[in-house]
Amino acid sequence: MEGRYFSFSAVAGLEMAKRALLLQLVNPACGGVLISGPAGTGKSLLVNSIPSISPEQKITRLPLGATADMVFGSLDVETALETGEKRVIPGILHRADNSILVLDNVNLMQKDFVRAVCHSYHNGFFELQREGACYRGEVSFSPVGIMTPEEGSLTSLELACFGIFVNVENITDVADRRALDRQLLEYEQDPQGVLKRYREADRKTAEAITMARTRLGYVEVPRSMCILIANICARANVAGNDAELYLLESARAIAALAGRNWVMPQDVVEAAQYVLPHRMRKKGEDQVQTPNTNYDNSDVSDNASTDLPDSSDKPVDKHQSDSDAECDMTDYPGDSQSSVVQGGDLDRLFAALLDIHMPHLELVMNKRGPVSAQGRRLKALSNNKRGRYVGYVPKGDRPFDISLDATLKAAAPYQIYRRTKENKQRVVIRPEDYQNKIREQRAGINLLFLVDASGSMGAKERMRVVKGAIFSLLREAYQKRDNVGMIAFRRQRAEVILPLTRSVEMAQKKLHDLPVGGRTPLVEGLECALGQIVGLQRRDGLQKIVLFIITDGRVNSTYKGDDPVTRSIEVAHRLALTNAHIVVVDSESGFVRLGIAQMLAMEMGAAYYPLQELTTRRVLRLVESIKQSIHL
Amino acid sequence: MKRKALYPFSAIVGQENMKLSLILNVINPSLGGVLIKGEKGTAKSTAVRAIADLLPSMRMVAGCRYHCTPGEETRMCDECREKIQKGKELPEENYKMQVVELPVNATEDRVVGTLDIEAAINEGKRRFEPGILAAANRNILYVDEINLLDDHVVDVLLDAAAMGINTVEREGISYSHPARFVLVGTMNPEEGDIRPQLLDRFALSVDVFGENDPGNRVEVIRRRLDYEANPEAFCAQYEVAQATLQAKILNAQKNLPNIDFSEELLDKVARIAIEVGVDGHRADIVMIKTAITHAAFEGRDKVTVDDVKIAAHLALPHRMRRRPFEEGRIDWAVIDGMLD
Repeated sequence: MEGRYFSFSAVAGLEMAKRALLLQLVNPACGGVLISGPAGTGKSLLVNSIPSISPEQKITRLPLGATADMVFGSLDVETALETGEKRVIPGILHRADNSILVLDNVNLMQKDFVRAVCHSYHNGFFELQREGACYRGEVSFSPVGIMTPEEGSLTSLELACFGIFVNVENITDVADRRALDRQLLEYEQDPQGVLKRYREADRKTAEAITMARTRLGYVEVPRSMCILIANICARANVAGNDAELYLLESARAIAALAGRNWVMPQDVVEAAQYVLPHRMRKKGEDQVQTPNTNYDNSDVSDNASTDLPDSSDKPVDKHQSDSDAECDMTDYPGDSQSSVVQGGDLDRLFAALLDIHMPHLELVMNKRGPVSAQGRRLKALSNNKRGRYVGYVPKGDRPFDISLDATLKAAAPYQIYRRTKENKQRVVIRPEDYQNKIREQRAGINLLFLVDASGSMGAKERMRVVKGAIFSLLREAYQKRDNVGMIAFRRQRAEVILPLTRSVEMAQKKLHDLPVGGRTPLVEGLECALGQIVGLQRRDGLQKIVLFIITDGRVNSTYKGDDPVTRSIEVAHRLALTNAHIVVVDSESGFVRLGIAQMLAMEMGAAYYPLQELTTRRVLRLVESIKQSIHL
Repeated sequence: MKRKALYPFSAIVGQENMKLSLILNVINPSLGGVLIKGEKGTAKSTAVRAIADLLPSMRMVAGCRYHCTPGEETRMCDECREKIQKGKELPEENYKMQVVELPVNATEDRVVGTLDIEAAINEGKRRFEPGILAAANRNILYVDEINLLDDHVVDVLLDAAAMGINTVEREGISYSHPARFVLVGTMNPEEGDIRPQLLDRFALSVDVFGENDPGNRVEVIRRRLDYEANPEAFCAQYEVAQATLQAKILNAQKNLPNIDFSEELLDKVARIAIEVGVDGHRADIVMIKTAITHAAFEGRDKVTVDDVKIAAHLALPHRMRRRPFEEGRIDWAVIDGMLD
C-alpha cells in the first residue's frame, strides 16, 4: 500500500533538503541524497512527499527490519515447489530499479545493506550469488538516506557514498516557527484544504522537473567550469575523484532547473554546498572530528592514537580502480591552488561549508579496513534465539533455531522427487534441509561507571577522568558494540547521567556539564546501579555487564536515618547476586584512610584497585584488561 | 465463558494526568500516544483497558484483517483497495477499539508479521501472516515496560509509527499494510532509559505515583474489593458517569475541526518550543493538537491559555534536553510566565 502523502511545497523550513531532492530528481547521476538532522524536523515527511511533485517516480523502501534475502533476492519457493525450477525473486536492490530508494534511519541499518546499496548504485548493476541461484541485473536508482545522528552515525566511507549531503537544523526564529505552527494547525483541522492550497505550487514544481529533465541532456559544462570544479575539490581536500563527478552533475542539474544549457560559476558554487560538506577534510586532519570536550587530551592521546586510524589511512571507495585510488589529493596542494580561482566567492563558500554541522562519524578501527560483513555477523551469531534475524546457515549439529523460509527454500527443488501418491500437496522436508537463523545481536559489553561526584577531594578530577575514558571507549564502541553509561551521585541522590549508549553525540549532549560537590550518598549510588543492572538482565539475561565503581568510599550522607555503611553493604550484597562484573576503583588518599571502598569490594567479591592517581589512561587500561578477562 | 465486565474508567481513583492523557488520545487518535512513567501497581493497564472499553463501536470493513475504515480509500489495505477497484461493495460491521499488547519478549517476526507457516507447509504458498502491528491498526498498542524492549523491535516500531504503515521485507514476504495506532507505553525509569528516538515519538508523557493520601488509598482498596466481589453490580453504579464521559468524548471528537486557535497563543507556543530547546517540531505539533483537543473536551470552541498550559505540561517534560543533577522538570515558572 502507498498510503497518502503530503505536499512537497507545503513542507516548511527545509529549503536545502528540498533543493537537494530536486537536483536528484532532475539528474539521477547526482549520487543520491543524505539528509541528517534532529528528530521531528520533517525529514521523512519531505522525502515521502516526493510523489506530489513527481507522480511518475517509483519509490522503493528499505525498511529497518528487512532480512538479507529480501534485500539481495532469493529463490522463489513457489516455483521451486511446483516445477523444481530455480527461479529468483528479485530483492529490494533489484526492485528498486528506476526508483528512489528510501533508506529511513540509514544510520541504524545493517552496514552490509548500506554498502550493498552504495555498490549497486555506483556499479549500475547488482549481482546475486546465493542459494545456488545466480543472477545479474542492471539497476539504476537514486538512494535517499535519512538519519537522526543522536543514535549513532555512519562511517566516513558510508557517508561519502551519498553524492549530496544536507544538514537540517531546528528552527529558532520565532516568526518562522509561528508560521510553521500555523500551517501545522491548519493541516490538523483541514488536511484537504491545506493540500489543495499547495497543489498549484506542486504542479509547477513537477513541471519544472520535467522540463529540466528534458533539458539536462543538452546542458554542457565548459572547460573553464571543469577547472573550477577541480580546483574547488582540491581545495576541499576530498578523497578520490567522486566529488568532481557529483559536483559536475549537480551543477548541471542546477543549470537545467534554471533553464540554461550551460553551467555557470554560481551553479558550481551552489552545488559545492551539497556535494562537499561530508567529504571535505582540512589539511592534515584525519576524518575524525574530535568532540569538543574538556578532558585532558594529553592524557588520552597516546593511548588513543594507537587505535585511531592514521591520518594517511584515507577512505578509498571500493568501487574505484586502483589507479584512481592512488590519485591522492596530496598531488594538489590546496593552498597554492586556491589563489588561482576567484578568491572572494570561494572563500565565502568555504567559510559556509565549515559552518555546516556534521554528525560525528563512526570509526572503523581496524587498520586493515572494515571487517567483512560475514565475519562480523557470524561473530554476533547468538544462540539464545534473540536478536535480529539477518540470514541463515545449514543447521548442521547446531541446536534448533529454524528459519522456516530458508528451510523451505532448501527443500523446494527436491519436492518433485520426494512427493508420493498419497502425499501430493504437502511439502516433504528432510533433516538435511534444515536451515538455522543467523541472528545479529549487539554482542558487546555494557560498561557502567558509577562515579562519586560529591564534594570530597578530587571529585572534579574523577569526573574529568571518567569523561575522558567514556569518550575514548565510545569512539571504539562501534566495532566492539560496547555500550557505555555513567551514573553519578552527589548531594542527596544518584542519577543516570548517561544511559548505556554507543552514541558519541548523546554522550556529548549529556556529559557537557558535570556538577560536583555536596555530600556522598553512596547507598543511593549503589541502588541506582543495581536498578540499571537488574533492568538490563531482565531484558536479556546473557548481557555482559561491567560495573566500575569509582569512589573514595568516604560516605557521609546518612540513608534515611540509617548508618550508610551498613546500608551500603546490604546493597553491595544484592549487587553481588547479579551477574555483573564489579570493579571498585578506590581513589581514597591521605594519611587517615577509612578503607570503606576496599571493604565494600570484599563484600561484593569485586576486583579492587586502589588508584590514588587517577588518570584516563589508567582507567582505560583497567577497562581493557577487565574486558579481556571477560572475553576469555 | 462470559467475559468479566471491565473495571470502569470513571471508577479509577486519582491519577488525573494519566486519565486526561488517555482521554485526549482517544478523542484525537492522531495525537501520538502517551508514555506513562512510574512504579508498578498504579492502575496503568487498568486505565488503558478501561478507556478502550468506554468508547462506542466504530465501523470497519467486515472481515478485514486490518480493520480498515470504510470510505477512507487512501488508508486502506491492499485487499480492500483491490475490491473497491473491482467495483465490489465492501460490507461493514461494528468494531470495538481493542488494546493490543506488545509483550517485552515479543520477537520481531510476531511484531511485524511473517510467513504463514501453515500455508507454506501445506500448500507451498508464500502468504503473509499479520503480526501485532496489523492487529494494532486503529487500536491502542500497549507496550508495558517499553524501555526494556529489544533494540531491533524498537526499530520496527519506529518505522511503523513514523509512516502509519508497516513495511515487511522478510522471509520471502514483501508486503505493507496500514498500522496507525495509539501508542501507549509504560516504564519504570529506574530500570533503564528509553531510546531517544522512541521517546520523541510519544506525544505526551505523564508521571504516575501511588496514591499518598490515606483517604484515597482506602477508596482505591474499597472500590477494588467491591469490583472483585461483583463486577456487574459495580459497573452498574458507574453507568451514568461512563455514559456522561462517553458523550463528552464523542462531542469533543465532533468539534475538533472547529476549534479556534488565536495567533497570539500560537506565537506563545512557538516561543516556548524555542525557549525549551526541543529538537524538531513534534513538540509544537503536539502542544497545538493537545490544546485543541483539550478545548474540545472542555466543550469550548476556542483554545485558551489554560489549554496551552496543560498541553505544555503534558507534551514537554520528556522532550527537554536536561543537564545532570538539574531537576528533570522544566522551569515551569518561566514557561507559565510566558503564557500569562
